[in-house]
Amino acid sequence: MSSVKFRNFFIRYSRVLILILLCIFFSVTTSTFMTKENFAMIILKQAPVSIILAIIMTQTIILGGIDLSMGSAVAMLSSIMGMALNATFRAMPNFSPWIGIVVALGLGACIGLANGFLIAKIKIPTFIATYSLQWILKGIALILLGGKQIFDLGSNFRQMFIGWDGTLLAIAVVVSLIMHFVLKKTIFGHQVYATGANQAAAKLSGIRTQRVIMTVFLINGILVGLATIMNTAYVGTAEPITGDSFPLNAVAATLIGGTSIGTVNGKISNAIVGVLIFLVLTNGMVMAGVPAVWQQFVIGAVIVAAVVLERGMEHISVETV
Amino acid sequence: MNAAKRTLKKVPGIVWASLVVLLLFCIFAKNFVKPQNIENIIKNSSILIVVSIGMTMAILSKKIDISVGGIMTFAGMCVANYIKPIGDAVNAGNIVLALLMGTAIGLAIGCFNGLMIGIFNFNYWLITFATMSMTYGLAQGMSGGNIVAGYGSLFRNTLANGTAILGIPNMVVIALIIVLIMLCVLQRTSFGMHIYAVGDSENCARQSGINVKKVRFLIYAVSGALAGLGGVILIARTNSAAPNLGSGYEWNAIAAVIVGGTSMSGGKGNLIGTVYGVIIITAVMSGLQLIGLNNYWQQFFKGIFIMTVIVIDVLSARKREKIALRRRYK
Repeated sequence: MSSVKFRNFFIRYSRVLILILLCIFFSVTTSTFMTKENFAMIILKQAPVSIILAIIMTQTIILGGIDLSMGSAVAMLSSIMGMALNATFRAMPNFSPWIGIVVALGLGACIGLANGFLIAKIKIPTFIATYSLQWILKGIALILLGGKQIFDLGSNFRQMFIGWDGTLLAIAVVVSLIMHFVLKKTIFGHQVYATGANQAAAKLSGIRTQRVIMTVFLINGILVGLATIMNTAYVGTAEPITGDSFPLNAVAATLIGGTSIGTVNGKISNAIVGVLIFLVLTNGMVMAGVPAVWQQFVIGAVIVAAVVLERGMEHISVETV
Repeated sequence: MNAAKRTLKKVPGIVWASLVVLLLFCIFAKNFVKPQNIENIIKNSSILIVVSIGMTMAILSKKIDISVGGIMTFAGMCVANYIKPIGDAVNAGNIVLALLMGTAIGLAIGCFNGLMIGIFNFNYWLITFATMSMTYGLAQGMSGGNIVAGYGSLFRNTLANGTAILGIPNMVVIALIIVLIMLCVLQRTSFGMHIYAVGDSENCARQSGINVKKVRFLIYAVSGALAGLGGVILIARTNSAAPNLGSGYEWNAIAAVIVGGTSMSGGKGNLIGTVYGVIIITAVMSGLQLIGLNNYWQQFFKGIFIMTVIVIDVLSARKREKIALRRRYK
């Protein structure tokens, strides 16, 4: 009996174990990893945006697809928000950050609705719908700014998010808690899981699957807007070529956290642990002197390792039942 | 007369739509119908055709292989690193070895895809997405992010621009040979029939004794091998190998396959349609360039075009299903 308990405990916390082992490994092999500055950078600066993106990806993966449009969406929203901030902050300095924020969140919602319409109503596979949208959004971003960057975003916009070190992290934590509550404690959340596991069955049991999918992508769109605001505030410039690596990184982080396609394993806590594993791994590789050109290969390998690991865990847990 | 009408009705709507687009380009794009541009379109098509064959097989079997662009890049980069130091002293043996090397690398990665997806039943989006990222990453790591350019002229001429038969560029000849072989495989062998069967209904195929795992494995292996070959031809054509050499090819291939009438719902379509689709896609890309749009607008319209094509495919498949249902219950 106790071995079964131990097994379940092990399965439940295996990703946390991986995180701890990785931290130990990198702090033994490199001298620069286990420093206060490095940890502050990972947790306060890199993690918040990644967590929001991983939450978006988690919701898409629960529904059985991958969202590839998030990178270009960030690029486009950042360009438009940058233009709006740049144009308004001299005329009304007190008011201008709010205009930028409303623009980003509103347009993000529009992108989400476009995704949701293509996927729920027209029934295109998520991957292909979001990918072709990616070309269009990236095209718009480049047409608007033409490869230029906007540096002048108004001092109070950055002040709002960077003024205190913990603001970005606080936003990420609040969003995580809200999304955790929505997915686990509301009827809507259960409908999302049901739709992702088996859309036909969910429909037959009276769930309005199209509306559920549309709503999830609407939420995702708003979260993309939020991620854009945080990313732009953190980077300090609005540029149309940002975000190319976001979808790949988010997929890797989400999967290594233990979420798998179309199952109830998709949890916000998994996304957070996954993001931390991902950031520790990439950061530790840089500290250990692995050239940056190999990073993309490692991220791909992480995705394969994650799905294989997930299958292995399933095997163990099936035996115990 | 009636027979002609019936065959005309069988032509999918997407074919008419693409013909209209081509006609518009003929009218509005300068130099679009010049012989030089047409030669260019055919040459560019031949690489995309080689890649699209694997994609056709994958989509016929109701899955997809989005790692082809990455496989092209990695195979192309490996061959570039082999052929560049030889320089102009390249001989026939080197060229054969280069071709074999590219195909073998593609085959190896394709086998990995096939093993994970076909045998172990992992999600095909995730696995091919991961393979895509790994192959791009390997190419990037191998070259250190640099371009490997400038190969011996014999290598370039034999595989791409030279004309050995009737003044047809060699790359077109290679593509034609591969299309003929694969056409025979798809239409005349049991493996080809099995692909259609698996795509139509995996359960039916399994219950009628088809080894579904083997079929899926072979599809990805062949797709990988052809992508590797395509990568070698591509570097011979462009005379350079960048770490993003094949990026975009996977999506052009998907679009070409769907324009060619192969449905994403599996089991319907053929290779001739794909060849047509490839020519249309390449012509549209060339037309967008010749109209004088800059790169950014081209990206935008490419997205719109591919999305429109897929939406039309999905909607028409649903309409077909509805009509079939109505007939059944009448």
